[in-house]
Amino acid sequence: MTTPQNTESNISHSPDTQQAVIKPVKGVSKVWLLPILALLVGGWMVYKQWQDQGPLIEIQFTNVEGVEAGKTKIKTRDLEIGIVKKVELSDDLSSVIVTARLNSDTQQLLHKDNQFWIVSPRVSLNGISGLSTLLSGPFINMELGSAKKQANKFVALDSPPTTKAGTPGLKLVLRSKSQFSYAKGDSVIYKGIKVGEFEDISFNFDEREILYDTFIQAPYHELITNNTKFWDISGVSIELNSEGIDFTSGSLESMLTNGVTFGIPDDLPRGTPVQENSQFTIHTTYEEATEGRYAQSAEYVIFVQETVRGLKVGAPVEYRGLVIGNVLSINTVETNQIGLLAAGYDIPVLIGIQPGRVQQPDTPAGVDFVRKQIDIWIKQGLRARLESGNLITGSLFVDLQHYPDAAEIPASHQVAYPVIPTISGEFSQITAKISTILDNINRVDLQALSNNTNQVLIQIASMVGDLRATNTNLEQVLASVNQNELSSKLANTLDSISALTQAYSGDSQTHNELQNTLVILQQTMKSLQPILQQVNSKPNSLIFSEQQPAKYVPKAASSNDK
Amino acid sequence: MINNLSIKTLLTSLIVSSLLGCTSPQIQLNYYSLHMPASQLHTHQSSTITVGDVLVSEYLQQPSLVMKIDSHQLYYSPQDLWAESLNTAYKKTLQQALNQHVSNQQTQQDQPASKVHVALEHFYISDQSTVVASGLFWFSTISGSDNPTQYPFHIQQALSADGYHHGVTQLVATVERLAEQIVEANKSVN
Repeated sequence: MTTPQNTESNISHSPDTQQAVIKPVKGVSKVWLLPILALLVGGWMVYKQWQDQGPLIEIQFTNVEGVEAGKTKIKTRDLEIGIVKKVELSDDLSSVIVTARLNSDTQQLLHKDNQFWIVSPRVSLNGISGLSTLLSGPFINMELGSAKKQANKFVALDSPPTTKAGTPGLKLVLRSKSQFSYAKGDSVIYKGIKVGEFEDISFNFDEREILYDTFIQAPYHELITNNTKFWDISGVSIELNSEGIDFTSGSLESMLTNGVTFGIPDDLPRGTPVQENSQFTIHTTYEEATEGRYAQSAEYVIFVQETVRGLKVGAPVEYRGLVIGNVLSINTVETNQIGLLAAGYDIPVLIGIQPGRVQQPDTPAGVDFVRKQIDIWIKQGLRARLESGNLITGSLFVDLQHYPDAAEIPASHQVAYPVIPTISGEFSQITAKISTILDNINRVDLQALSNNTNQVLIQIASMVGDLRATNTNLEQVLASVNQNELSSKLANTLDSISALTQAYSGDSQTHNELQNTLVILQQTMKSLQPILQQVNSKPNSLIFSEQQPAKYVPKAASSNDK
Repeated sequence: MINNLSIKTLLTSLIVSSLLGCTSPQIQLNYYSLHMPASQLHTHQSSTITVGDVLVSEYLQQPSLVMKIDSHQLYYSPQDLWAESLNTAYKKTLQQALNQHVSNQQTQQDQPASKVHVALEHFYISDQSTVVASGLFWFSTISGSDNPTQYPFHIQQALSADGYHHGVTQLVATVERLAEQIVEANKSVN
């Protein structure tokens, strides 16, 4: 066995072997290339991941039903742009903060006024939405705003906005003191077309009225001017008024839900366009909406002695059939009368005569003109009375008419308004007319009438006597005719007819000859029958006679026995 | 010219010969009369029995002589015809036979006059070498009241010679035999 020293000595001393040259390594070993490369790739991937991931946003929700971290997606216009990373309660526990990571190229989409809401299946009277999320689960929708400022923290909406941000149109505020029950999303309809929606509802405590933020879509927003009136068309409206039954309904959608419509009254100009968030009042009916266009009215009081059942506030005041105003109030005007239960209490009815309805300017000057004219007319016999507008509904209206013969009634009650004298109603007038008719009947001279009738009857009796004499003469004429020439002619004619009948009677010669002829004809027809049958079966047998049929001949008894 | 004449002649002769070829032999018709004038006129005596209505069956109301050739088959001879209607001839023949019979039997003067009506149901020559006459007769008074009693008759005569002529002779003989039966019946009634 050799030692290492021996071996080294052997090598160094061997003339055939060369001494190894030991050189120090100068560079990095190539082996290191592989981990470096892996490190670079890893670093690039990390960078790429960092580069690809978009902004992290926080959205504040009040309720996050169905939202799950790592599953729920963020979408805009149905395009997936991110995913929810974390769902946690806010510090004050009043809301839920959803943290979501968006895609890399979405930074420029994060406008400050972006709207977020959770899209889930939703069923309402306006329709069904979000059905696709039944299987896929809810997602958060981002509606892009238009603000130039950007943000990473947002407050989400509780429900989808009725109008998407950026939709062209006009925002209005509709006011209402009535008990309408519009909901968010209810329609604004114009001539049957849905042109807008109620977006939000708020209550003004000072005015005690409800404010509806309403959006009118373009291009219909151009229809809204300062003369536009809004009125309610919810459901079906049936009104019994002095003109009969009025049936009004909007579109089918508004019949099921609620809705308002708008328009410009016929006799008003189109008006000027309105600014954003202009305020309008929602009227109960179209009539009320158009009614409201007259600002000025000359107010009068009429004292009604009959019942005012059927007379309503708003009932028309007519002058010779034309509406010139309306009833403003019933029994609310203070008078110097003691009370309703006092004897002879006249019910004060306040009416307004609108100058705008009588071709006068709707201004105080017009009101003055109307007052002056009415004063003159009252002196000339203008009277007010209640008339029945509709016999079925019993609705009443105030009718102003000229009664030149009517006695002037002094204003017996003190009141703050000028008074138009009244006259009794229709039933009182009917009674008066019947009384007049009876008076006329009384004036008729019945005695003279009776005498005339007697004379006529005597003349008729003499005429009947004449007729009777004429009848007797006529009977005599008829008797003479009967006894003369006519009867002999008739007898001759009857004899001729009798002779003619005998000639054709049963045993007459003519009858027998006729019968014989018929018998002969019948026999001839019978004789022809075999020939006709033969011709029918063999038409050529008339020309080409064939073998004659067997002929039978009687035989004697002796030959027959053979 | 000659050719045209010869063609016309040829065509005319062809048509004439064709028409002649279609001609049928003339049928010999024989007319018979049941009633013939009597050999002796009995003007001094009138029968107390007169013939009223003679009702002839439907199948006999035609001019041909009828021959029964089977149990229910009749043969109307096309060449042998009655010269006058059967009910007229039968009425005359029967009246003549009754007159003849009365003259032979010298009827009593006090016998009331009566009228006989005959319903002739069958009156034919049979292929069994007989002639048959059958039916009913009944009497009524001259005044018109009917006697409800009806007398049926069925008379058969054998043929002793061939041909329709002999058959008609035998049919006349049946009428004479019916006259005898009527006279006998009339006697029994009265």
